[in-house]
Amino acid sequence: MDETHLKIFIKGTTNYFGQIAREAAEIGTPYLKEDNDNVILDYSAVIGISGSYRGCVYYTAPKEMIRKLIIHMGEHNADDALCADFVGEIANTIAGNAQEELGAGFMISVPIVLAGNPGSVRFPKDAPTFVIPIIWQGNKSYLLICVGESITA
Amino acid sequence: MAVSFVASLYGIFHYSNILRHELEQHGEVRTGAVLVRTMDARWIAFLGSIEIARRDGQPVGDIIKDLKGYVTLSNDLFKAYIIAAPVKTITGRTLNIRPVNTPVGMSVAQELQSIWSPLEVKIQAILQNGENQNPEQLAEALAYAQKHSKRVIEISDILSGEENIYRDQRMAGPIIMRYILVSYLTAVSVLLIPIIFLMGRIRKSNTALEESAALLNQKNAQLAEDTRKIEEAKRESDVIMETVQEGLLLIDVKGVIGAQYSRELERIFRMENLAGFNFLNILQRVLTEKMYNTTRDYLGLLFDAKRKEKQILKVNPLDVVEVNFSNPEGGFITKYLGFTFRRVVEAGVVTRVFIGVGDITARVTLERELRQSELKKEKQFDLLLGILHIEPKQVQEFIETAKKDLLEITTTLRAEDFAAASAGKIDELRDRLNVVFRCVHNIKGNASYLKLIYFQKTADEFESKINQLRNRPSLTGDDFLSIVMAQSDLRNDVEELDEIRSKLGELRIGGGDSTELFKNSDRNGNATQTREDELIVGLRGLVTDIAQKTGKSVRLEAKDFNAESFRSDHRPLVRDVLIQLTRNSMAHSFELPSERTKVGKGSEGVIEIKPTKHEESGLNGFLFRDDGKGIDIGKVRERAISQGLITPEDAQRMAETELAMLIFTPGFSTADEVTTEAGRGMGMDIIKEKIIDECGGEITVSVEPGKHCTFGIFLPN
Amino acid sequence: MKLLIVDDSTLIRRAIERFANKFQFDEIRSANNGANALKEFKSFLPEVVTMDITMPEMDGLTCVEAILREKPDVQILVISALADKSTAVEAIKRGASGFLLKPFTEETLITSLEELFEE
Repeated sequence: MDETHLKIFIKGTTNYFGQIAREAAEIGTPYLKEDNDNVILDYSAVIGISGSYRGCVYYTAPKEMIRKLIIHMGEHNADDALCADFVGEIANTIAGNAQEELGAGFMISVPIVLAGNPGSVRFPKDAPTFVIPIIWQGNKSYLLICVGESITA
Repeated sequence: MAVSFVASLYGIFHYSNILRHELEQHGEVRTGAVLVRTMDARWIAFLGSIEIARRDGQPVGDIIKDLKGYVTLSNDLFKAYIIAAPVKTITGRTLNIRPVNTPVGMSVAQELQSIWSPLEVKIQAILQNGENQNPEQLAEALAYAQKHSKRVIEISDILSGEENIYRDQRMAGPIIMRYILVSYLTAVSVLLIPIIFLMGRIRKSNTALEESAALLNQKNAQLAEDTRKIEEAKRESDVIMETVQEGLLLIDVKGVIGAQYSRELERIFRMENLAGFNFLNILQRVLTEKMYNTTRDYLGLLFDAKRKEKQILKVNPLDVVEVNFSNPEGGFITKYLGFTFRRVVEAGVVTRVFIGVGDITARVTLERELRQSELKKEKQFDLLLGILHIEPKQVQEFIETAKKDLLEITTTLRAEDFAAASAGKIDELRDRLNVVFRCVHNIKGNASYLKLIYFQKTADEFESKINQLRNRPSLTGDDFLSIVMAQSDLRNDVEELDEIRSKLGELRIGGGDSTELFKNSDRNGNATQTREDELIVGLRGLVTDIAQKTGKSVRLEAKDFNAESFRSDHRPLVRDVLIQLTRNSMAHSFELPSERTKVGKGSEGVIEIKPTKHEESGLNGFLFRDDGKGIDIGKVRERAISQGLITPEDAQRMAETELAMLIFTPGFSTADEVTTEAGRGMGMDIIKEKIIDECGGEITVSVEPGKHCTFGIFLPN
Repeated sequence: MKLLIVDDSTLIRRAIERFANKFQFDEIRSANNGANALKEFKSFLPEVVTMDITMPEMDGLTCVEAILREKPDVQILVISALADKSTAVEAIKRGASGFLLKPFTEETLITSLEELFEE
C-alpha cells in the first residue's frame, strides 16, 4: 500500500460526496492511528479486504452527518436503520470503486455495520492504519485504511 | 418354459435397472436422452410380459405395478423436454432436464408427446384391466409400440444432439462409464429384437419362443457376468476417487468436467456435483481476470495437438496460483493451488485433458513466511551493525526521542481545530507541516549525532518530501499522504531498532564481560571521574564527521561541561540543542581553513561549550561559542525580506541583534544549498520553541560578524 | 541448419551464439530488434530462431507471428526475462515452439534448443 493506493480511496470518497450530496467533502490531514487510539463515531462500517491486498477499510461518521446526508438525498425519515444502512453503503461504494482501480486481486467483503460504540475495532497488526478525516458541511467523519499487500512471490 | 421367459424378461429389467441406477449415481442420465431411447423398449417388454403371464395364467399385478411407474416417468420425462420440470425416476432420484428450445428440438419433443399420448390411453386401459387382461388390447398396444419404436430412438438421438454439452460430458467420462452405457444399450437391443421376433409368431411357433427364451437366458447370463466385472472395477475406481488426496478430473475440449472426478476436487473448490460443469467457469470465479484469460489460452494450447506437449507443460501458468473464494461468513478465503495437466490423446486428437489439483496453501505460506523473515533478518542485521558502536543507553535515548517526535507528528496532524475558512486553512496546514519538519529534523539530527546512517538517510528523504510540499503554493489534506506514508515507514524502522536493542540488551545481561565489546574505545580507562561527558564524545564525533565532509577543520572544547548538571528531564533537550547548534556552526559559521588564514584566524576553528549561569535570572546553562564568521547579518536581512518576514523598511530600522533573532523564525535558513548537514531552515526555531516556550528557559545571542557567534542556553532547575 | 539470434543486447546475442556453437549450426546470424530480424530472416531463412520479447522497433511476439507467416515450419525459441506466466503462454499461443526464461545458462539453453526438435 502506498500513497497512490490511499489516493484511490480518498478520491472515491470525495467523488461519493460530490455526487450524492452535491457538495464535495474536504479532506483533513491524514495521520497514523496509534494502538490505543480508537476512532469510532455513531455509525461505522467495516469492509474486509483480501486477495492480493489484506486488511480492512472502515468508515465511521457521526449520526448528525449521516442524517443530514440522508435528508439531502430526499429521504424524510432518517431513522437508525436507514442511517446504519447508509454508512454501509458509503463504505461499500468507496471500497468498490477502489477495487476497480486496484484490480481483481483486491477482494472486498460485504460491509459489517456497527451502530453505536462497540469499544474498539481490531485492525490487522502487520500494516499501519491511516486515518483520513473527511469533513462535509462542518461535520467530521473518518475513513480508516489498514491494507497491506499480501506476501507475494 | 414361459415362466422362465418372463423371468428372463424381468432379469433384463432388473439388469437395466441396476445399470441405470449406476448411471444415475454418476449423474449420467442428467439429460434423460438415454431414458427416452429406452422407453419404447420398456413399454414393449412390459406389454409382452403381461401377455405371456396372461396366457400362462400367471398373476400380472407386480408387472402392472412396475408399468404404472414407467407410465408416470414417461409422462414426466416427455413433458420435461417441453417445459422445465423435475423428473422423478423409478429409483426416486430427481433429474433436471433442460427443455429444448431449438426449432428441431421443440418439434421432435412435440412429436414424442404425440406418439406417447395414444399409447398412454391404451396402456391405461390395460392397467385398468388388472388380472383380467384382454389379449386384443395387449396386441394392439404392442403393435403400436413396435411401430413407433424406430422413430422414438431417432427422436432420442435428436434430443441427444440438442443436449450436446451433456452428451459430450458423458462421452468424455472415463472408459468404464462408456462401457456401462454400451452394455446398457446392448441389453436394450437384445431385449427388443427377440420380442419383436416373438410377437409376430407367438401364436404360430412355440419352438421359436423357446429358442428366443434360450437366447435371452444366454445373453442374460453373459450380461450378469459383465455387470459383476463392471461393478467390481467401478467399486475400485470409486475407492480411489473417494480417497485420493488430490483433485483429479478430466475435461473435454469445451472445458466440461467428466462424470468421474475425485472427492478432493469438491473440497478444493468448495462446490458439489461438479460433473457437467465447465471447469473454466469454476476457475473464472476464483482467478484474477488476467490469470483467467491466460488459463483459457493455455487450455486451448493443451487441446491443440499441433503444439508440443512438453513445451506447453513447461509454461504451466497454474503451477502455483492464488485463488480467492468468497467466505459464507463474510470476506474471502485465499488459497494457493497447484495444477498439473496431461493430455489424453486418441488417434492423434487431444480428446481430453487430465488435470490434477492440489491445495498447496500451507507450503506456499510457509515458504513466503520464511522468505519474509529472512528479509527482516537481513535488515535487522544491518541495523544491528549500525548500533554496535553506540552506547546502549544512547540508542535507547534515540529510540525514545524518535518515538516522541513521531507521536508529535501524529498529534499535530490529528489536531481537531481545523480552520474552517479556506484562507486560514492553508496557513494552518503550513503550520502543521512546519511542526512535522521540526520533528523529522530532530530525528535526523540525533541520528547523525549517533552516526545511525540508516536513520539519517531515511529522515533526510523524509525531509525532502516535506520540502516538496513546503514549496507548493497551496496545500490540501491529501497532500499530507506522502508524509504519513514516510512517517509510517520511519515508525516501523524505529520499532525494529527497538526490537534489536532489547534483544541486544538481553545479550548483554547474559554475556557478562562481553559488554566491553560495545563500549566506546575512548572509555576504556578505568577512572570514571576523568571520563568525558558522553554527549561531548558524541558531539566531537559529529564535528569530525562534518569537518571531513566539508573540508573544514574544527575542534571542540568542553572541559567543564557536564550534562548531569541539568534536570534529568531536560537532558535530552540539552543534547538536541547542542547537536543543532553544532551542526549550524559547522554549516553556516565556520570558514574553510584557507579563508580563515586569509582573515588572520587560525586555520582550525574552535567550538567552545562552557557551563555558566544566566546573569539576571540565575538559571543554569551554558554558552556555545564558535569562532567562525558567525551569523551573516546581511544575508539574514536579505533572506528575511525575500521570505516576506520583514519589509525593507523594517530592515532599515532593526538593530543587528534584532536581525540575528530572526534566525529563530520558523522556516528560516541562510544556507545557499540544502545539504544533509544544514540548510533545511529549521532548527533554531525548534530550539527557541523548546527552550523558551516549553521549558520556560532563556536564550541569548551575541554576534560579532566575522569573528564569532555565541549562544547562551539556560534552563530552570 | 541455420540459426538467427534476435536480442537487443549485444551481450546476450554473443552468449547465445557461444552456447549454441555446440549445436554446430552451419551459420549463425543475429539481429538487434524485431524489424531487423524480419528483414534478416527473409534473406537468411534459418530453421531456428531465438527471440527476445522486449525490444525496440517491433516486439518479439509480433516478430514471431511475422516470421511464421514467412515460413510456418520454423522453430522459434522465445527467450525472455518476463517471468509472468502469461507471457510464456502468449508466446506459445502466437506460435513459438518453446519458451526459456532469462537468465539462462548454457545448459538450459542447450536443453531448450534440443527440445525444439523433440517429437
